[in-house]
Amino acid sequence: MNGYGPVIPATGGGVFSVALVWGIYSHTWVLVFFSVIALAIMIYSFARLLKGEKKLSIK
Amino acid sequence: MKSPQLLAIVPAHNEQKIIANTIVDLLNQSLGISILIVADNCSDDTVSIVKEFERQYPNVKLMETVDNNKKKAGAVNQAITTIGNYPLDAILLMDADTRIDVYAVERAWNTLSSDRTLAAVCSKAGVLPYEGKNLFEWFLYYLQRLEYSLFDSQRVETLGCIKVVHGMAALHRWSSILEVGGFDDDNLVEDYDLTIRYKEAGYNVTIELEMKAWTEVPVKLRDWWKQRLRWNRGGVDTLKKHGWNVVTKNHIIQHYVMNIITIFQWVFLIMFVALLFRGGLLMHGLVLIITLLSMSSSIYRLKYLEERNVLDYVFRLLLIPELLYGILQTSNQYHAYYNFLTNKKQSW
Repeated sequence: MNGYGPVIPATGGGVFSVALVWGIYSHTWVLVFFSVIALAIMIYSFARLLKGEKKLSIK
Repeated sequence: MKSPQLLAIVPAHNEQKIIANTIVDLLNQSLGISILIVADNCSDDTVSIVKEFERQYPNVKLMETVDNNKKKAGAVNQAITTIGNYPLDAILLMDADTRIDVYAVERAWNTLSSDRTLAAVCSKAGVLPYEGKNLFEWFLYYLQRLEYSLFDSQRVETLGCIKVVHGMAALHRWSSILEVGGFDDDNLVEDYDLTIRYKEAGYNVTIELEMKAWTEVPVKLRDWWKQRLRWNRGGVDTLKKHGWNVVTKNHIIQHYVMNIITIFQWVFLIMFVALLFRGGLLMHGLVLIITLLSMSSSIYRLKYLEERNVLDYVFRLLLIPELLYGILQTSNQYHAYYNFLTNKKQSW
């Protein structure tokens, strides 16, 4: 299974977006830093999924 | 066009309750396939059930393992050795507790035969329905149902070089599996190890979404924990075995990155809950909207669920069930790391 190691959270960017908004609101830049990285990974992962789906539809 | 020579190898250890269904699924395939059931240290009626099929159907054969103490991988390796140089095109490796769709083999063969660089094609991974009445068991079942669809979506992300050709149902090119020497029967996650060896040998591996298969999942917490500990420990053991190379480097990096993200998520959630209780944080409507928007990708991934329903969306939107499940997954992962670092022996 793909579960032979850590996987991306099933909740997607849900938690990280709250962290980002809160970080900006409270000027907690460490929170902003980590949530931006986490959200970037989530977006990258989603973009790869769409790319994979596109390849499948062409096949 | 000449029909391909295909063989299904199904290792079975005390599978009297389900082996008949598995054989029937294989007999009903739209593309003909021979069937070899490998009875491994069975003490129930598995052997007699298979013998009955053997009498009725010429393409069903039974083989019993000899002195095998290497579980599934050892059973499959004994079968591969027995088959020897028989001119096959591909073998379907399938768990005895897996059900497959009537077109599964045909779809997988179409994909495998269309690309010479492919060593194996694995199925979509579904979960068989839970038939009990225990609420906690149902809850654990449901979370795994969602989790397995997430696994499928991650395979599509990495199409052509998926992380694992899983063991529940996958079609392997016969020449490729012979070239890499079959399973490593000392490995806790032999399918992961085999996938890495395929890639190290220069092959690609992929998923065929029209090859549909469903498996049973553990619904008791103790069984789930044991299974996942084997998966997680096997994962790090396999990476240690292969070391840092062009195939494994992304998997190793993934361990570090995902752990940083996970730790960050938990630290943030603890802070968030603490502030909520102290009344220091107002749940602004905007925060809620942004949260829902950023969850759109995880909601989108639900399309990989077969026969999805409203409850699937409710589960995901509620966030809490899957966050709780995430705590379980992370705890298990760290337990596996601890066992790995302390060199503790991990059983099946």
